[in-house]
Amino acid sequence: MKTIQCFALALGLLAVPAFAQPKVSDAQIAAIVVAANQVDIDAGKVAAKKSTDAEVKKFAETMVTDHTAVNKSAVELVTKLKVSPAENDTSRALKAGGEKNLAELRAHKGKAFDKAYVDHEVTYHEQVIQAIDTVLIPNAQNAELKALLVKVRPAFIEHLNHAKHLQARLR
Amino acid sequence: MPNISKPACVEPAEWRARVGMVACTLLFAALAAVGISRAIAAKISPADHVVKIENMQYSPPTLRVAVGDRVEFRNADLVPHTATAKPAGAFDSGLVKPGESWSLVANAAGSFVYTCTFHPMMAGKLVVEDP
Repeated sequence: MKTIQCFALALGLLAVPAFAQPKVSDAQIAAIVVAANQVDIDAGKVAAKKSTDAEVKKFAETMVTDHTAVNKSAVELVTKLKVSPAENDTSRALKAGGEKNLAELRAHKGKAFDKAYVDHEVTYHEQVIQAIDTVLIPNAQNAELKALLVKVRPAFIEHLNHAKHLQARLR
Repeated sequence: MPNISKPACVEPAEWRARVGMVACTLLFAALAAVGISRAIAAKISPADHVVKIENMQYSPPTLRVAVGDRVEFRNADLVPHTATAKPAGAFDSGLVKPGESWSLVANAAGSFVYTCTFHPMMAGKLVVEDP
């Protein structure tokens, strides 16, 4: 299965109606947020090194910086709240998808690499934003965790718009 | 009966005119004094302004200041940002970490569009006017 379909499945697990599956807990949300950020940090590090396009390289560096900053805020908050991130099917699926994505990126080079990386970034950010909107924010119990998710959202929207701008140029 | 002439005193109409002129002169002088002192104040005590960077936006998106004013770019976001004039040259904050600030003094009049070098979808405008 294509990697991006893995992510769709991973994040889609969250959308199962409440009566069929327990609600997502704050501890699980924390693990999902950290895993989702880490996927983009890892992909960004590969692209920052491998891309031959100055704008794609700069975008990749921004992904590393931003997702690292968001993870730092998330970890600081859950530490303060004494919430231990609880690994779950979604966070595990995200990590597996991340590994698969890295393997695919390593198989490409040149413009094909840039296109593969940017295409993935567009779809990935769309899926993460949808998960934030439909599952993570609505299910967050702790007000500060919910506020963090709300505050993070504009950054992911900007990333998506930036990635779409690059995607249009690389077509 | 001999004609008795009226004593040489100021007629009421002329008195009103004189009072009116003095009042106008005093009012004009007062306004001029206030105007001059404000102009002096503007030159010797420039204003401070803040552009808040939050939710991947500069707030306010367009800021009008006077030459000599100080502008502080305050990063209230979760991620680092810059305030970089484009085309490059007029000003560049470099990386501003979350929770930190960077300031400039508006030395020259002009209209400056700026962006974040990490997030090129962000846009702001600084308009510097002569005081």
